[in-house]
Amino acid sequence: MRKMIGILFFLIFAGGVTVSAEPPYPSFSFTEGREPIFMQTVYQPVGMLGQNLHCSETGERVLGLNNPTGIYIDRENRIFVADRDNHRVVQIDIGGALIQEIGVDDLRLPEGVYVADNGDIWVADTGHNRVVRFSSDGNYLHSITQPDDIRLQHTLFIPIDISMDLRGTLFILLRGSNEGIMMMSQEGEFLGFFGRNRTPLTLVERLLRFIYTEEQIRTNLNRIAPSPTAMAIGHEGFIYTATQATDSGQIKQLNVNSEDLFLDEDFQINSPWFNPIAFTAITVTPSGMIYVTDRANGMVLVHNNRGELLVGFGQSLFGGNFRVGVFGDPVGIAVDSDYQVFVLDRVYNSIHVFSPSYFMLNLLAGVERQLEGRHLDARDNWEEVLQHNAFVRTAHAGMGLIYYREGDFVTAMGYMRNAMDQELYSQARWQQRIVVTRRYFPIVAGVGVGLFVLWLVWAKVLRLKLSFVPKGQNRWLRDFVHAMKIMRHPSDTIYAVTYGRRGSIAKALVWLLLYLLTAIVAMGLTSFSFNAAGLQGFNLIFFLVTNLLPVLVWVLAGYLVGTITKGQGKLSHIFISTVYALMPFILLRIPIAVLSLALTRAELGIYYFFVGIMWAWVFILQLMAIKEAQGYFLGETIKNTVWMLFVSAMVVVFGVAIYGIGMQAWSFMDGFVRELINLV
Amino acid sequence: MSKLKKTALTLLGLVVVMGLIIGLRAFNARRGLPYLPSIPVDILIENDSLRPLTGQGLEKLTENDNFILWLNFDCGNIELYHRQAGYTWRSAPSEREMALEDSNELWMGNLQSPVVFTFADNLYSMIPRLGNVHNQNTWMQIFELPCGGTRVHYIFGATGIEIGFDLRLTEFGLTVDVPPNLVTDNDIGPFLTEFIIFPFLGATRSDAGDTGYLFLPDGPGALVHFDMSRQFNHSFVEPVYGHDLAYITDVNTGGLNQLLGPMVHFPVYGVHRNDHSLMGIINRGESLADIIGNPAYVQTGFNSAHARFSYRRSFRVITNAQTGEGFFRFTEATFNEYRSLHFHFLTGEDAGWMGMAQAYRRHLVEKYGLARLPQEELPFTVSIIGGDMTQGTLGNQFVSATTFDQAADMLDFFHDQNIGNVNVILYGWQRRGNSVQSPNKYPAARQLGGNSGLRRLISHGEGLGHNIILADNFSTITQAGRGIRLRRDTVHNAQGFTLFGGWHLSATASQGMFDRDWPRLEVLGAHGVVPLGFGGFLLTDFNANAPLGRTGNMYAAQEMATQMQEQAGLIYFSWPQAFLVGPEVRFLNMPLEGTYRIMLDETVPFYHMALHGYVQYYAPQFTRMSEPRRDMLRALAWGALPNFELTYVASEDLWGLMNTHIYSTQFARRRYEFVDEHNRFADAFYLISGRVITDYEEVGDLIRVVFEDIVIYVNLGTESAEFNGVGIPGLDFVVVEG
Repeated sequence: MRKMIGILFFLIFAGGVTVSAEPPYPSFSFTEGREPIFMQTVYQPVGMLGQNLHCSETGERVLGLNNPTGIYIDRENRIFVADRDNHRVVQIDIGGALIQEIGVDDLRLPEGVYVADNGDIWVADTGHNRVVRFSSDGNYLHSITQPDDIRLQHTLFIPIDISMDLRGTLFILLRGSNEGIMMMSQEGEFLGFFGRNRTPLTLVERLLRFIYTEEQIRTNLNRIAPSPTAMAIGHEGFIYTATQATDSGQIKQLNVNSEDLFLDEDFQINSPWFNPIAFTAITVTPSGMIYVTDRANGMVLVHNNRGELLVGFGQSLFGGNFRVGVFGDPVGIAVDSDYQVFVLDRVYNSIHVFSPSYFMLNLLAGVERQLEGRHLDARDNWEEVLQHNAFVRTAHAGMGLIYYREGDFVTAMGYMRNAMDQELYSQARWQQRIVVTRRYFPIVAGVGVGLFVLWLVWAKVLRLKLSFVPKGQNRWLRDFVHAMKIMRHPSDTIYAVTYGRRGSIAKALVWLLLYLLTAIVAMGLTSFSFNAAGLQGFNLIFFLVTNLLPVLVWVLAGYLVGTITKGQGKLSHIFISTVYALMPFILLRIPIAVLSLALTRAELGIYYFFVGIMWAWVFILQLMAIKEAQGYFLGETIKNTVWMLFVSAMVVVFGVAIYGIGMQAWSFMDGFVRELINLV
Repeated sequence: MSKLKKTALTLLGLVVVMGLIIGLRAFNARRGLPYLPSIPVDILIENDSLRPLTGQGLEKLTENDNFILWLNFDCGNIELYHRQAGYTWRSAPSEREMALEDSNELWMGNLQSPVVFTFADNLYSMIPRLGNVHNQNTWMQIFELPCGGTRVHYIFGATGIEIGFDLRLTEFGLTVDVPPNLVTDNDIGPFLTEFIIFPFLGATRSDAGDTGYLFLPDGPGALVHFDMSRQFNHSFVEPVYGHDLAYITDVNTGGLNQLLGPMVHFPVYGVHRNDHSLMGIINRGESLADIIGNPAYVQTGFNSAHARFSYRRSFRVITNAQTGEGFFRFTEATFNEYRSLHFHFLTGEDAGWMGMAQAYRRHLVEKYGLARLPQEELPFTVSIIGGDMTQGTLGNQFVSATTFDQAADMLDFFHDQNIGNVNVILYGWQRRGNSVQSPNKYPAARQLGGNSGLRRLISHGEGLGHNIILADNFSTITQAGRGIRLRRDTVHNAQGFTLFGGWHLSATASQGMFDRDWPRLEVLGAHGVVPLGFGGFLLTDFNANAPLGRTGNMYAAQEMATQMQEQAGLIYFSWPQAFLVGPEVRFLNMPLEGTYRIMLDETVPFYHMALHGYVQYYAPQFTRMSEPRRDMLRALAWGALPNFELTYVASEDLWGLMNTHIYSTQFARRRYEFVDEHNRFADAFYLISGRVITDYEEVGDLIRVVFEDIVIYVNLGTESAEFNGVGIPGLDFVVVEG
């Protein structure tokens, strides 16, 4: 319901802008977290192509496309379509004229087409289980059927798409193959498989693998890797695959060793308004821009060569709303040299044609120039992009890079921050730190030496001591200062605050509050290099669930385990000791956050070293807290800590189950009452 | 427990259950409205008071200086002879045309039937069936109407459904009125769901040698040429003024997006056949109508366009709010509304879409009492965004985009640039900015300067001679408050629940809110108002306490619009719906493009041609245009005034706002560009203001548009070009006077 209200609000406050002047589909730019942001139209609808074709010579109407499944545009912008249910491949022009029909008597249900640089046309002749090669004028040359190779005895050779790399090796996508893409020579020699997807396993399945025998794994955990749904070969030699029904690695950029340079990244769109993606087609431009079609959301998504999602446009077909850019089943995509996008849609039996807007052309030119290393040449493009849309992070990154190269590191850092690019921000900060250090080193060094001399005089010559213990009668204040001794004398301090008069539930609650405040302040203080989000998007509920709830569950687990293992501690004792044992976090987290301001990502190790020390300290104190509060020996402490971990997990599982059952019960009652009201 | 006690308890339990069932039935009875009342109430003429007419076959019924009307007394089909054109229009295809048709028996009957309707055997029937005069054991009665005209009344014996209509000849053609008392079904079914009067009036066959096009109200207007070489598998079916969301009890987001997509803004359709054309205007009952365009071979071999009226609609009864499970059913409630079609018949030079647009202009002028606008300087219209909410560290927090003092600085800048006639529309100026929680809207946002800051801004603007218009919402709410209760004051959906949990105010509550709120705005000194969302969502209100049909809501909106104009001065409507047309009305967001429906061949500025010179209308925001230079040129050619959107704060700092979707509005970055654009077009807009569009021609990237004695040539391409001997630089325009 909130989604609906959101849309309605958008329409009201945007003044109904979607109703009037824009194409019938939205366009989005995306944050670094792949959250969509509304933007102006990036690709203008041009028209539909293919349902109604005419003869290029006579102008007479000829048979239109029927369930087309594959499209390819060659370097000369010639459009080829695998016209599946008409058992042919057609070459058409942008005006809808049929230039030539290929394989009318040879092909059966062809699903994929590729045109080599020499003009030869390779077709995945799916219905005949073979690959067919035609000359550029459509003459049959030869075909390749299933290779006679022992390694393929369990493989069905049903080609659905085909492509070729720079060396002339054929890459053939097979229907239902979980082995990956088949590589073959042009003569039909099997060269191996490439780019196999990993088999997705749930956590339980992963655990079972440790327990099961080989045979049990084969019979019970026989999960099959999803086969890629589409592929394309980039001009730089990378092979790109798109895969549906997988949690990550939906797009892969594979090098010759079949390694995914996108590191199995998850390409989901991060928005409750969107369905889980289902990529059906992929193409790559000479400049490395990756275009994919998403069947689930009816969108074309455009990524740069690093896999960063730049823009998306389109909408899913609903009812009879047949319009350009409202996709039914987009199964193929191609981009010509003018960056016009052609999306093959088998619900329409047509191709949706789009041309880039002025804005998009600038964005594409900027990306292209940046890719070629002509960063400074891209300045005009980035400025133009930012003039018309300040939310395009790629443009901010591009401008940041330009200022970085020009030595204006402060401005560069500002742009990098807008681009949410931690790496480049950190590099700029590094450079800026050098500049600052050079400029202010004499002053800093002088102040440092002066302070050291002062300390020498104070401590060694005058033999004076600085006491942090307050002398007054404020017991609370003294107890708080005393509690900090837990860092150096954990056993005594924990005992004193748990069973002595130094601690109480009220004081523990104050420390708990301090712990939460520390977490929030540290989140805000930590350098952008280490925490890009900062406090942006802070969600109090999520924060409490991730920071407070674990503490409370741990206390409960300690109490439950204590009751069955003869622990001496009451619930209040365990709560107090657990909270006080968080002291290293409370005392060190903010200083570490401050330290991060002086570090760059090159010193990531230093930052995480201190963070690690802090958590290790907390862990040790927690062990001490359990020991002291429950009166365990060391061995018992370790054993019961393991039990506490288990009980904590059970508490969480129980809580989730109760929540789920509660929701089900509510849903049942709600449905029951509604049905009663409407049917009685 | 004794046996007696057990028996008593059992009986008591049964009584409680029975009581519950009776109570729920009573509750349902209140929701199962017999009909949805509307305003105004017409005086209806019953058949009993009319003189029956008898005849046989095709007989002349009536005539005037322009037309002769013939009626077929056997089935009710008509033929209309256009004297000037020497051409006869028929409601059913000729025998020669029918000989080319190869449809099945049902559609052959539909083609020859003056009335086609759909009916459901019961209210839970998923797929209604088609009925026509030939497959329903039809009994027809014909009566003479008192003030001229003829009534044709059908009783369909197979279903018990009755449909009748009144025919009257006029100087422009023919009116077909359908009074509510002539459309009925019975209580036990079958149930009437939709009907069409003269579905194939003017239908043409391309294979019979007819040339021409269908005119459809897509975006600004669109043409579908008769073309045998193309085939479609779907029709153009669009509800006038958008979908009625009260029947949408549960949709997924994608579905809702589509329902809220491009909508029909004016209730007009047409058929251009050779040198003649027919234009249908739905004069009454348009909010219950779908406009349908059928290119040949979608349903039959004929190209046809018509209006389909709803009588009752279906909705999904949601039985599980979490999963959206449920079932479809039709409402008991019916639309007992007056419906009226005006058919204009045109010929010769007037027969094209431009002739239709001019005829529609005359219709609007007469219906809404429009007067010619005076020639005036191009207003510099600028929308300024105040602020909005964003998710902050400890809850939501206000983000200021432009304070009132910053807005005053902006006005000074424009004044210094010698720009006069400035109209400033302030958005997001209330508490919580654009995420204002209506009805708790006031005072003006403290972070922007509060009421005192706003007053200062308005008086500052006044001092410079500018108008300050406040955007406010009198239509929708997000919570209860200020005397508004969700159950009582918001629209209920077809299932009887508050629509989207209490979202759209009922007509009465909306009027009440304006009555209470306008004085507050007036005190602040506002020169006008943009009523956000007003007219964009025409709904049927199923609130049992005060039910109101969609037409009733439309009339209420019209009445409220008139009142707003009288009280608030400058009024800008965000949705350019034809029912809001009136003197002194301004429309924002006039379409500059079609909706790219694949069956459409050509987008034409029909609506612009009908309105220009009488109604001021604006192009969409300059900052949101994908091709600003091109789009501004098209805006000029179509007479749509420019509109600029600004914030003082950099757009980069406005990420993540809850209800503000802007991306390039920073004053410092764009101010000179806006001034340049305004100055570039100012003279041309001055010349065409107050003039009507009399001719329009578009060839490739070149446009020639005639505003009476002013001709504007526009080149949307990047290269220089020549049109009718006039050279036009790339992405530029030329004005020729006289």
